Amino acid sequence: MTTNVEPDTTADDAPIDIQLSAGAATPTHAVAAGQGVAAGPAQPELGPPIFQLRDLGVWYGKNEAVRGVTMDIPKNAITAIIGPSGCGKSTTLRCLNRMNDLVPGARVTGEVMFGGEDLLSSDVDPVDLRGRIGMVFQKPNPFPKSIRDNIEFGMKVNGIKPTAELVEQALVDAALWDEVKDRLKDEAFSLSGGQQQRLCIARAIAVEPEVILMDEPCSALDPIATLAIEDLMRNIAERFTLVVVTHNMQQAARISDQVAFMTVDGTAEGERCGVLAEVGTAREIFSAPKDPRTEAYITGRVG
Amino acid sequence: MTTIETPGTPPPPATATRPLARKRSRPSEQLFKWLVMGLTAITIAMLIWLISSVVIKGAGSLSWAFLTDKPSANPEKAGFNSALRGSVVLMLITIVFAWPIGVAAALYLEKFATQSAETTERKVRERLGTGTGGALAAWLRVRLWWLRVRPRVVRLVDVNISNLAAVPSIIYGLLGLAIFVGIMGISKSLLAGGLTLAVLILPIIIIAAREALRAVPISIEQGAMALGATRWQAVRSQVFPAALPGILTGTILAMSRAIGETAPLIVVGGIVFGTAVPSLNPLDAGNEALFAMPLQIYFWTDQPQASFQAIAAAGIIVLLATLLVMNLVAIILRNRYSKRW
Amino acid sequence: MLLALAAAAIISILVTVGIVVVLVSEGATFFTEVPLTEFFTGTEWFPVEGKYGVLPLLNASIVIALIAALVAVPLGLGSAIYLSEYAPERLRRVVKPVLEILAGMPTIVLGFFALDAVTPALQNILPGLGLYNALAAGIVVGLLITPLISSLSEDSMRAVPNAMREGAFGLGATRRVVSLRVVVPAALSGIVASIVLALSRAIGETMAVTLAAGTVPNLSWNPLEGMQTITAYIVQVSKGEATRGSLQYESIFAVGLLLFVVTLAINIVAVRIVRKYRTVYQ
Repeated sequence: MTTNVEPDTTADDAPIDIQLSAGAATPTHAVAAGQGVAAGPAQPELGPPIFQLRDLGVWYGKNEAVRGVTMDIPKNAITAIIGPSGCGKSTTLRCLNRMNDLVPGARVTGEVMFGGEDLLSSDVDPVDLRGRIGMVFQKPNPFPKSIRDNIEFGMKVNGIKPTAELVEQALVDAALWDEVKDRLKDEAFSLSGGQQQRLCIARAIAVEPEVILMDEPCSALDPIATLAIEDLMRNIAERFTLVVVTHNMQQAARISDQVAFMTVDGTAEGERCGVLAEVGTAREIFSAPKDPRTEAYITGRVG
Repeated sequence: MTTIETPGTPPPPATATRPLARKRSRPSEQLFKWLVMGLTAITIAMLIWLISSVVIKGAGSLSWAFLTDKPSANPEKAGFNSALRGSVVLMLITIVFAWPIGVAAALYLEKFATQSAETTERKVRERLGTGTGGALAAWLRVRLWWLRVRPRVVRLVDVNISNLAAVPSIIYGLLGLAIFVGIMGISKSLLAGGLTLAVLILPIIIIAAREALRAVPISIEQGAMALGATRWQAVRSQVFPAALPGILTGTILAMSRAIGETAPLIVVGGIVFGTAVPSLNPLDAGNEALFAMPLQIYFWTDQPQASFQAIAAAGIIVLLATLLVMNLVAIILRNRYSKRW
Repeated sequence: MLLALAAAAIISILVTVGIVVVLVSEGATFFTEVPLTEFFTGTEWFPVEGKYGVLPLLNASIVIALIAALVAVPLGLGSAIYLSEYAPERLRRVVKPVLEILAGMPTIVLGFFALDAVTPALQNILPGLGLYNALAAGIVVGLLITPLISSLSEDSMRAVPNAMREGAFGLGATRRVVSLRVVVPAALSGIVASIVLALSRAIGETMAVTLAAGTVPNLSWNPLEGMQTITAYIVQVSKGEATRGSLQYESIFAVGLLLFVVTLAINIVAVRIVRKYRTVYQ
């Protein structure tokens, strides 16, 4: 088995101009040949799953927003969820840390197994869960407090003693320390957009989660800040599992190990509902997608 | 080291660092939620206590006779009629004076005071430059000065109006006493009271009218002007009618404030012990003693006898009922005529 | 035409000018007879005997305003937090207008309520409570200003972007923590401004304190006693037969001037607070 596969040029259209970096193949897995089904679990070459979504569905009132999502999310790897806008990517992501609980009228069906237990179960404590599964949002949302207080907030909330060393470590991990080490007392809002987002990532890291969910973390940032954060993501993927929603295919191809493609399906009432079309390794999705919808999206015919 | 799995066999799930925590009761969460809920409930309960104690005390004294009898030293025979008439006349005078001035001021401040001054200034300078002399030149210079000074004046007026809205109402009574009664020589009558209340609610009407004007989209005004109308024509024929429901709603709410005011009326008019029945003709207001619903209620409340307390409560019921009707009218007006732009 | 409109706007300035001129000129006449030092340091307000020390009146206004704040801040803030952070939208749509009813209540009704219901109820708990007492006045004025604090604070809290709450929830914070440690600090300038404005309203309140706290000046901090506020004194003199130009007549303008200055100062402070400490959300 080789660890490098040439892009498959069997498609009629012009070759896909996606740069697959060699670094996308990490030592934790080897590329197997032709494995996996169109939408479903078991990507064994990526390692054991930490999340197992089984027939996950989300309703907002009478609208079905997401239907029938079944996939595994491997531990200590980067999973990207891509797809056209409005296909339920963020909604699905927010199920993983039960943020949808906070939306009045939202109802989640199905199961999400986390380490073997269903985290959607009604007797699970969502507050504690969110201390273990962190989240970074699309638009940077630091608190109107000082940089240090932003980091310490999450720590205090989770019972971690906020020492200067831990604060520094979180900022180092988020590649922000050098830029702010002299001004920890400054207002978080005085930072630039990219810095604020790294602060939000540092804030999430400081809580020592097992998973970090990222909802389009770079879409509000300029390209340079984006690349800085992508580097950051690759570095921290060793310690945490990352699940990243992105509408930027190139980004998904650059950073992720596993890719899930979601798309929109009509419901009986004519509403739009998000479904999972295909999930596979980054290489499979971008070079040899099995589902025609995936291929249409990848090649830019749709979405 | 890679493990080659048999195709089709999913790997066992990874273990998390610890099992999922089950829901536990967080007492501080529950306590806090009950605390804020309780504080809200207490506020509402106090309101209910207020209304019910008034109704219980006064319902028995409510009767048609109560509404039509004039005041009397005998609580059994004392009626609310003079107070009702007085309040009606007061409201008429108040609205006649406060509404036009308030709406005019709001129109000016909202639509005309912030016009671009550059073109006008340029035109005025041109005319000055062509050798106009004498009085005309002086007038043009005044216009130039005003254009330059106007933004600062407008800002001053803004600050001024919001300060006025926060001045205690009794101060307006002092103003009325010194100017309307003292300097202008109006007797302590319905007229003096009405003028004082007009001054009191003037800032409120200005603020409400400005809000209503601001809510009209600028496209309405610009559309009219694009068709060749002057700003004045556009405002008069399009913007103002569109804002009118909002202005009326605000006016009714301002009036409901005025109808409940007691302190300024006491200062301007004193307390009337008489048994007169004021005429409903507003033109006579300068000669009529100052009767009003809240004044009558105050007078009765101040008496020691319990039977006066009962009719004071009855008067309160009438006053609150009037306010309820006014507010309902305002809400209906707003709901029926507020367009979704 | 424009001239007429502009004139209308200028009238508002005339009103302020009128107030200031009236208060200052009549007040000045008063102060030619009563020296400022006696006014501000005298502890007896007994016009019949020519004693014009304003401290008892000012003290009463302040004591009652403070009691009102003690009532209104918990009730108002509590309601604001509940309505903004906890209440379901349907409940909020019902409760908010109900609170507004309290805001629109004529103060004469609150005065009646104090005399008729609150003082008797308090007398059950505190025997020895007089008919006129500052406590009932303070409670009732507190009720009056609660919607002011509640409404303005709630507006400030709802202006805090939801993204900030989500950030806190996402870290594993509970709703209480999010409300108290994220939302309230972010909305603080609006909350403090609302309290300051409410205090100003309480100091200027007339009918409730006249009926509930009585018409006898009393330099005391004991809320169980009756005391006459500045506004109650003005009412008392107006009811009477003080002739124009007499010292008593002038005195109501002097205390009125003091009241005007105090409330104006408080309002300016409130505006400053909002401007200086407002959180700008990016």
